[in-house]
Amino acid sequence: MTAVPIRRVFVANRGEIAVRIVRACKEMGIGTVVGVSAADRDSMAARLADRALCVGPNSAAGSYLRGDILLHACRASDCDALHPGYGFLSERAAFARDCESAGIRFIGPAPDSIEVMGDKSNARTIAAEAGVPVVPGCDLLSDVAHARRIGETIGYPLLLKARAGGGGRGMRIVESAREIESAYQQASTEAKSAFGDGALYAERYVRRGRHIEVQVLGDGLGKVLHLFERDCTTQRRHQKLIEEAPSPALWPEVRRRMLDAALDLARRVSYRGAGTVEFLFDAETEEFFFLEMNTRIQVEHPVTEMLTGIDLVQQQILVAASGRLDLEQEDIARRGHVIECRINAEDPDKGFLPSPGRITTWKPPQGENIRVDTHCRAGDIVVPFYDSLLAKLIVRGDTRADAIDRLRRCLDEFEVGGIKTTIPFHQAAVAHPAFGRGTITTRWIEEFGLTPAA
Amino acid sequence: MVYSKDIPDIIRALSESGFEDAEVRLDDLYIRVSSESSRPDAGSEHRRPPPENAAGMRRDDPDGERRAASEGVPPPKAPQGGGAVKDIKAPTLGTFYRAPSPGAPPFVKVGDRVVAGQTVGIVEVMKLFNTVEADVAGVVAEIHAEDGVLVEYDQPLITVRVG
Repeated sequence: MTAVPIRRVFVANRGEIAVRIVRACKEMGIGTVVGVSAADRDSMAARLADRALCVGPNSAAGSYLRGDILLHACRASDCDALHPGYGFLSERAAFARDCESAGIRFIGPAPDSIEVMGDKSNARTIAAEAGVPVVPGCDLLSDVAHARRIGETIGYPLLLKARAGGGGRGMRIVESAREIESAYQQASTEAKSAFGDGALYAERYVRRGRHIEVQVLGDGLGKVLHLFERDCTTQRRHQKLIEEAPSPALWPEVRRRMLDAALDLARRVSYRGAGTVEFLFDAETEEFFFLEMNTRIQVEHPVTEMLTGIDLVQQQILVAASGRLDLEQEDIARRGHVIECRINAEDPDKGFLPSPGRITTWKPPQGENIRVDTHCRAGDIVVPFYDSLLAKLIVRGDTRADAIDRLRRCLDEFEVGGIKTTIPFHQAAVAHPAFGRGTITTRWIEEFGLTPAA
Repeated sequence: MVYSKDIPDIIRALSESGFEDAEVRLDDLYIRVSSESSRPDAGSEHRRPPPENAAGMRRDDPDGERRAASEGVPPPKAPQGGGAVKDIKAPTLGTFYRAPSPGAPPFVKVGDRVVAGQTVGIVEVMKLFNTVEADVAGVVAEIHAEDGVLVEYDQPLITVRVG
C-alpha cells in the first residue's frame, strides 16, 4: 500500500463512537463528514464534524445500514476514507469491498479478514491452525459409546448440546463418566421431542468462565502488536456492562500465553488495523479457548487507551493512511488499573427495559484519571431507534482497589435526569464483594440476580 | 437499445398505465413504477447505463453541493401569490437531476402546472435512479436544488402552490 495521506474521513456511524472518531480526526488535522439519520441531525457528532449529511430516515435500516447511500455521500462530499465505527456496517466484508472499489479507504482490516473471521467455524479452523486453543469438543455424536470416548479424551465436566438446540433444552451438564449414559438418553429424547432432532454435540463445559480479550494492532503485512487484555466478565445476557484491565484473574504466565496466542492468530491472517481476539478463560483450570475475533474498534477500546496511553482510533487511521505501524511492542506499557462502566438508557429495576426520553439533567463526574465518552447533552432526546448506550465512564487508579474507589465516587457524582440509566446497577455491582475480589464469572449477574436493591 | 432520452417516455407510459406496480427490464435497464408515491422508498426507480451519456451531468463541484445542502435545510420562504404551499422532498440522499438526461429540457420549471404522481426530478444513488414525484396537484412556485448537486434525505427540492 502506498502512503497517501487521508484528507477527509466520512464517519458512517452515530452516537459516542461517531464523536470519538471526529475528535481523533480533528487532532490529526483531518476533515470530517458524518452521515446522520433524520433523528440525528442535531447530534453532537453532527455539530462537531465539519459537515453532516442526512442519509436517511430514523430507522437504521434506512440510514446507517444503507451502504450504497453512505458511499454516495462519502464520494460526493469528497472524502477519501470511511470509518465504520462498531456495529452497523463495520463487519460487512461486502461493504468494505465496495469502499475499496470506489477508491475509498476503509479504515479497518482487509475485507478478506472480515469475511474469514465473520464465519465462526472458519475462524475456529484458522485459530486451530495457528496453534491457538479452541474449546475442546467434537462434531456430532454417533451414540453413547462415542460420547463416552469423547469424555475420556477431553475430560469432565462435559456439555451435551442438541444440534437443533436452544433455550437450554436438549442440554445436559455431565459431571462424570457414571452419568454419561443417562444424560445422553435424556438430552437426546428431550431434543427429539422439542426439535424433532435427537442429534447431540459434546464439548468441554466451562463452569467458571470469564471473558477475556486481547487488543491487537497490525500493519497488514505481518507486523502485529498487542496492547494487553481487557476483562469483560461482567455481562448480562452476553451484553458487556463493565470492562477492566488488567484482568484480575490472570497470572503473568497465563497472560503471556494468551497475548502470544492472540498475536499468532493476528499474524496468521496478516491482520491490518485494530482488532480484538476474544477468549473464554476457565478460572478453574486456568485454560483459555478462542471464541472469536472482532475485526473493528470495540466499544470498550478506551480501557486500553487509558491503560497504555495509545490512541487506538488514531492508530487505525495512521495504518489506513500509511500502510505502516510505527509503534513497536516495547513502546507499549501498562500503567495502573482501568475500569469502564457502560451507562445505558435502561431501567435496571425493570429488567433493563429501555428508557428513551428527554435528558433533563446531564452532569458527568470530573477529575483526574477520569474519562467520559458520550454523545449526550442536557436537553437531548434519547430516541428509541438505536442502541441504548449513553456514555462510557472510564477511570484509572494505581491499583485495582484505587480504581474501584474512584469509580464509586464517580458513579455517585454522575447525575442524569429525565430518563432511567444503569448507574444504580453499576453502583451495586462495583460495591459487591465478589466484584471486589475479582472472582466473578460471566453468569454472575444472572445467578445472583444482582439488582440495585440487592 | 434504450437511450436515456427514452426513459421519461417509458416512465410516463408506466405511470399512466393504471397499474399499481409496473416493472420493465431491458438489459441493464430496470424501471419500476409504484403508485404508493407517499412512501419515500416506494417511488418509481429506474436504472440507466450511466457512463458516457450521464457523464456530462456529473460535476465535481463540492462548493456547489455545500451551497445547495446548506440552502436546502431551512424551510423555504412562502412564495408570493398566497394559497397553501407544499414542499416536494428528496426521497433519499443522492445526486439531484432536474432533467432526464444532459441537455434535455427539465422535468418542470417555475410556473409549470403539475399533477399528483408526475415526475419532477431524479435522485441518483450509486447508479440507481429514483424518481421524485409531485404528491399534490398545483403550480411549481420555487425550485431549491440545482441540477447535479448532492441533496440530503428529506431536503425540500421543489415548492408547489397547491391548487
